Amino acid sequence: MNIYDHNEMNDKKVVLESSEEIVCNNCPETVIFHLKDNNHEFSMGLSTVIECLIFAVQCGELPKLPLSWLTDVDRANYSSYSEDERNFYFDDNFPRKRE
Amino acid sequence: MKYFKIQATRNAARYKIDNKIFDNVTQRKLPFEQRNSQGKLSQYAICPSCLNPIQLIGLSHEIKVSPHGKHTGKNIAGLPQWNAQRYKYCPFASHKEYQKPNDEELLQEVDQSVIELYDLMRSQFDKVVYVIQNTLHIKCSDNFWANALQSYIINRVYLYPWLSEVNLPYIFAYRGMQHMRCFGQQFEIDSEIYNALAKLKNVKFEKTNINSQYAILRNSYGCYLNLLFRFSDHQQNAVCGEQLIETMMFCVDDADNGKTVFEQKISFDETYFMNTVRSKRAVHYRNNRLLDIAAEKMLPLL
Repeated sequence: MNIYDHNEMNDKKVVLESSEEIVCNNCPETVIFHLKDNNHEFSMGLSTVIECLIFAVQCGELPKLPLSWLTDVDRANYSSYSEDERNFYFDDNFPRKRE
Repeated sequence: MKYFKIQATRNAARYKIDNKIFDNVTQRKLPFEQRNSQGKLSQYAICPSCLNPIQLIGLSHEIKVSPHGKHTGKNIAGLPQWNAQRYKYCPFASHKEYQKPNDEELLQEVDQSVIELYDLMRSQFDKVVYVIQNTLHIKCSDNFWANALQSYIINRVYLYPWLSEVNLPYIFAYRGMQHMRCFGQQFEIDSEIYNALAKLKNVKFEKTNINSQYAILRNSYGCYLNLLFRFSDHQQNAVCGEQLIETMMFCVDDADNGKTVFEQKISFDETYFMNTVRSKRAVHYRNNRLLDIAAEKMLPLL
């Protein structure tokens, strides 16, 4: 039996209301997202969003990420996702092509 | 060398090699003045860099050059035991035996000197950060310094054989800050590094209310900024065996295209850090947040 009530999930669909770049020297987050469903409003930092993304990659719900991209994310986020082989495929993107 | 110590510890004061100063500091007591096997009086002390025994030349009689210290190369009664391993990393060692700094080499064992420097970093981390920030004309977040310290510990930089109480802040930056992101850190307005970065496309500096002399490095909207700090080429040069000139290259690279966008040679100040540590005024200006970070991350070595 599915533990989720799908009707309730649809009612509570979360939307991004706004985002805010943080210009604070001592804030661990550089971007905060303000989210909203029918009943609640809450905030989530960029690092949590990345954590969710990595979770989805490790579950196989999303494809692995390029190592060059993940290495840059780690530097920006002070994280170490690029050390876990479940998260990336090797690419040789240097100089970085971001376009 | 032009300085000597009378205690074989990293924290011990260093004194200029000078007849009057030697007289005041040691009162010519044993073991600092001894008769050698020929009955001649010789003056001894401790090398400020490798903590080995040194003989002081030119104190009791005039010589053509200024008084200086010379490693004894052997044990001297009452002074620390001669340590050949330490000697080879001493910038004042003879050219034949001196091992130049390189990034791969680490000491194999944790000795008393390593523990003292580790404890110095732990108890004075805020002053290490203070010295390096002033030297590089930047101010970084506590989070940044916590990560730099983490890198220093993981890479066991405290075992870097050329580490001393003089160069501790600089070597901390040299290895700990390596390849860390510049984004979101503060740069001193009109400093060389600020002017070099301000010229770049996609760079925006935002002034803050906290300190009008500094501005925060940001990206232009929609552009990812991949600027990284890089340090290289640590060199020690004992000029004429007297003055120690220690340098490293401080650079900022754009990791997106591999280009170096800023480059500066940093000369280490021989007295800045230890003067800051000993400063009585500085007692009132401790940064407890940084000290807490060091206490949490730096577990006792043994």
